[in-house]
Amino acid sequence: MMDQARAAAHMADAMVAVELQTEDMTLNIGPQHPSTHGVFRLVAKVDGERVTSVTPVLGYMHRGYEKLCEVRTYPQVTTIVNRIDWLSGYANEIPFVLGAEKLLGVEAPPRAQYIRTILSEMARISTFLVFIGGFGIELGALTPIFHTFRDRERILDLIESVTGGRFHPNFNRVGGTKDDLPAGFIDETRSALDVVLRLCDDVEMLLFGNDIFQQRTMGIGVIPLEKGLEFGVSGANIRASGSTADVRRDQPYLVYDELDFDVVTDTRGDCYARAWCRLEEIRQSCRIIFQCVDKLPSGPVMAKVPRIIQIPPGEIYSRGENPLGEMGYYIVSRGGRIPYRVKIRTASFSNVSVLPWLLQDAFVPDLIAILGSLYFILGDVDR
Amino acid sequence: MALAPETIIEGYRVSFGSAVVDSAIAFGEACVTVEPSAWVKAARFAREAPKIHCDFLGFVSAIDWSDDGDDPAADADSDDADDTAKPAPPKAPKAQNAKSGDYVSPTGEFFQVFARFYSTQFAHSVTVKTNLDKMQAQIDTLIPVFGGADWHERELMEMFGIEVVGHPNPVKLYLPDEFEGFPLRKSFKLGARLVKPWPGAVDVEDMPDDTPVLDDDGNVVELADAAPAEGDSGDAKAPGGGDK
Repeated sequence: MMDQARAAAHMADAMVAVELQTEDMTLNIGPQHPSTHGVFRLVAKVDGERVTSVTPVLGYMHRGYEKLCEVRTYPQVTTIVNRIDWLSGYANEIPFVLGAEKLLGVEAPPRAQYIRTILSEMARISTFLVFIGGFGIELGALTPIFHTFRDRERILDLIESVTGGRFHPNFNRVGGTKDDLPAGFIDETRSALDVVLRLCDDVEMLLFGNDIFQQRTMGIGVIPLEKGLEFGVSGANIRASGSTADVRRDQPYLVYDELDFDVVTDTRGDCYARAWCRLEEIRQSCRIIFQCVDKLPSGPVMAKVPRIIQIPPGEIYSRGENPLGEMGYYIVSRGGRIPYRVKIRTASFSNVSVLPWLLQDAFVPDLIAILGSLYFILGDVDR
Repeated sequence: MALAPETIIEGYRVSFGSAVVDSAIAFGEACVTVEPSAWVKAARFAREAPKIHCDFLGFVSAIDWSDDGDDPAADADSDDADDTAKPAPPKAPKAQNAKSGDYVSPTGEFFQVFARFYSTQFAHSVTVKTNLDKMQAQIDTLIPVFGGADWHERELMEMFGIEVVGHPNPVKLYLPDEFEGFPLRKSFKLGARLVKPWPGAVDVEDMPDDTPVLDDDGNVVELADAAPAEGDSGDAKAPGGGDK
């Protein structure tokens, strides 16, 4: 009797299972979805709530910068590369001018190096503030973005006061920077950084301590270290998975070897760890800038370079730790004023290339968390 | 421990013998050119040789070394070189070339495919190159060694027209499906430059004669703090520093 009942129950279960068997549905996310920070389309095959496969579609923002670099002089290229990762435009210029300077055999004066470091770290702070605010929104936390955008404006004002541009500074020249710092910059910087540091504490409580935020991010979208490296994932994305790779530490450029800062790492590799690493990196960036303004040497901001920049033949791969990860330029010169070929290695391109693997078997609501936590800028993916 | 670039190159020479066509050290980083047939093996060696252990894929890309001539940019360059009568802009001093060593740009009709691998553990890197005949531009896929090579190779295919053998999904990455031509080949002319020649070329070359302000051109510019004197032409004169 008992057995019969059990068998009947099994039967019913089986029938329900057959009835519930669903066809895969194709779900288009983007190209205008807010969590993608640009125009990026994800074609997801979903079986109920489960993602069975994902095909990213790129190219909506492809501007052909590698080709355009081949018809511009070296000083003109900085204008273009500003627009690759538009939220940290300043940081994009650095590896390129450093590469060109190395090929030319000049070095920017110490003051210029310090100014570059300060502004790069400011770019990092400003873009991570966008991340933290935006990531909160994607997970349903509306408050943090108002705080982060308010204080990010302080940083952008500072960048603007030096360079004249909020997003596209175009401030670097081969051999130095365009100008010196304006009067009052250092005091203003100190007070702005204090504000940012307070904000970090606030956000840590508001967002990172929030139960819902933790449930949405902890253990979600784990990138194993080896897999990440194989795909070239870099920046906070890979440091959250236990790597200690940081170009600023491993192959110091600018004045990073004279500064004291920690490489923020985590071993969890999930969305929470990635976001947390970025929050911590804001604090480290503040630390770096404080040291820089204390140590800021006097002197010129431009090295002696020819009026017309002509780069001797050579090849160099020049890389830097951009906010989003390792950004590098493989510059090929055959002499003259124009690069022969510039291969632009952007961080987001490699970071996003891990998506089809990472999103396999994820759940649809997690998909937004994972996309947001990888933090890519479409201009940086498509170039 | 980070290996010296010489050691990495030596490792390749020992393991690959004559398949290593060329090697160089560029700014402290090892660069090895191998036969196309050894391309995948060279990448695997970079990843799996215990002391090299480059686990991080930087990028995969290519250089088209065959400059087809009437690229506007190249034109401007060759004008510079030929025009000895004019007070040509200063060539970079020879002494500075010492930094790039005895580098000689390759010539000839070929593609150079190259990939950069980096070791996050040892903080050294190796750039592996291989030269492909333009008529037979074919290379094996690196995906079995580095899964992340997938998109890089798709870009390689659409931008250079190099066939990647064994790629599981050889469709265009950025460009629309109906796009014709291979944009990063030197023979692919930039439309904007065909319609209108590069204004920059004229600008820079005429300056020494036309504008007496720039008499001292050819000398190294003295940089006083106030002087708006940097390398680029137009915006140097724009009011910049004063109004801050």
